[in-house]
Amino acid sequence: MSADRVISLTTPENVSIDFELAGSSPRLIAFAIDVAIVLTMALMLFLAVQLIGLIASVPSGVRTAVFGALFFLLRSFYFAWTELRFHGRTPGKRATGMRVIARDGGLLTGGQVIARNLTRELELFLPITVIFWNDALMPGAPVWVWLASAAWAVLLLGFPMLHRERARVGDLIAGTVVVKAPQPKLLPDLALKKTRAHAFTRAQLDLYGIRELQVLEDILRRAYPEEELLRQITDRIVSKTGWEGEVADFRGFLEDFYAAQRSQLESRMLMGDRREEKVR
Amino acid sequence: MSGDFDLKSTQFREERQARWVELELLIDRAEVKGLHGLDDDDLRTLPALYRSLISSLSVARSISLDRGLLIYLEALSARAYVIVYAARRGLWAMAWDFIAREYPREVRRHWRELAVAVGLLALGVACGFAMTMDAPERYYTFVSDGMAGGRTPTSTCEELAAPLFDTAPAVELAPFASYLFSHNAGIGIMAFGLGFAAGVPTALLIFTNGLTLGAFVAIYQACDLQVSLWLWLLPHGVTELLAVCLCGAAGLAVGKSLLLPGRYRRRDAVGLSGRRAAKVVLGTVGLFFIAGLIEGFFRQLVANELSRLLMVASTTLLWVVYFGFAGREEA
Repeated sequence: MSADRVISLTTPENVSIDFELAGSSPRLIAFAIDVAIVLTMALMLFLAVQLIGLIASVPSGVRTAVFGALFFLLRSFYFAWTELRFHGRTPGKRATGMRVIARDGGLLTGGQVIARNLTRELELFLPITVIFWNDALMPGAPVWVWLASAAWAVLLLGFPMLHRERARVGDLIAGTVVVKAPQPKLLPDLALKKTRAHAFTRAQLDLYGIRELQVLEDILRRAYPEEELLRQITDRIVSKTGWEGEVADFRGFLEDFYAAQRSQLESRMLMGDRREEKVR
Repeated sequence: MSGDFDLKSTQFREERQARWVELELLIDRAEVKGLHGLDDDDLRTLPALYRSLISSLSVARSISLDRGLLIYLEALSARAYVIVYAARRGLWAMAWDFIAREYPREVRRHWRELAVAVGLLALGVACGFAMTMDAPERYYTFVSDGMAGGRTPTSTCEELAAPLFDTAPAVELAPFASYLFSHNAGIGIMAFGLGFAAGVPTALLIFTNGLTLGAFVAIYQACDLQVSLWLWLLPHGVTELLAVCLCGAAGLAVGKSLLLPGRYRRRDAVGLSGRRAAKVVLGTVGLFFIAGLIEGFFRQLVANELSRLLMVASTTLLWVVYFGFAGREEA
């Protein structure tokens, strides 16, 4: 996580929470999912209106009209409504693990949600219309007008790619940002073990820092770590620390080393000495 | 728990993790069903669990190096924060508050931009009128064929008068009203969205709408039908033109903050004005809906000019009172 891909939010309890910005492609996928949902809902709406209309023998013109108005409302407010209702996540965003939050770290307000979603209509549908159906929009316009407006349209469509935070124009207007919203499970504590077969001296534990500890944690948390990898790491640690003895169970050795190392680094941290990396 | 290597961070986790899991289950439910999915007991424990989680997070950051734990607590805090500080009111209460107070208040705050938009529209009407009077063939530039509906400078007075007093059976009108609503609301939303291009396209859009209207009025000038024309246009026009100008005002407000951010950084200024302007646009979609109903039904069903005049007067009065006074007392 490089610094410019993360934004921080401070809660009223004065604790900061970091969010990683979402990339362009998951956002596109989320949008595609939402569009598919809107179209499905529109189809169902159409069938329902036609069916109820037929039973109540309403003329076809009125049925079309009712559907037209409902479809407009659905298309315009689906995103805004779902984002408000599900705390910043349309169904598409939920499926792709993202959420909208306010750029200033405050709460997402209705105004923001509506602003960013009304703008989408312009950002997406207007450029497409300009490029492909310009004749309908500006009948009889000379070619240079088409070229100029197509250039503008391409710029508008490509804007998120150019922007550092991959923000849409709508995000800028609303002051929002789309971030990753992972839902990690609470994993077991690797240091939770009653008996330890391997002992280490303070000097042996003074060699590594937090970064190495957490790399080791990642490897131990893998569902199926390769035995070969565990052996290599064990060899490195044994030769570096000068630990004496024969290692039979690599995983057991590494778990014990992890617990001892974490204990050492955490007590150092409590004393105000946070060691980020190994010394040499 | 006791042992040779009993870590403080492990003890800490043992003591607290039951509450984290309890909160996680609450949040799982609230994210799907909203706060309505929680019963009274849940709602009472939620804030306490949340505060305990937030304190756990800051303690964990200072005493624990378990990355799995830190990631879990951080993500859970983010989810809980959004739920705990979410708006508590229901959708209907929010909607009512918006209509009764927030929307008219926000419109009043945009009175300068609204004045500019109305000015631009009036200027457009005047230009369209003057230029068409000067050279009737310009009419074709200002009014598209679809909008003209066969009415051109070469039409006779009878041809021009006929549509003004046409009435149609109600059944055929619903599609028309619905089309008018989506079409006009679309233009309004466009006027707002174009604001981020420094407001220039917004201004142009309002102005060209004025040109069309002016050119239209001009071809009726010769036939002495202006009064009838205005009584045909204004019953819905008061609402619709106001709505166009309001969306334009919203676009201009965003454009203005982009050009003149004042004390703020440019992106903050745009964000701030965009959020407020969006409220104006949202309420104005309702105005377009009303205008669509009047245009689609009333105008086509009622040819009596006195009734039309009454409609003009009552809609004008309604909007003046609503935007002038609604939601003022607490402000």
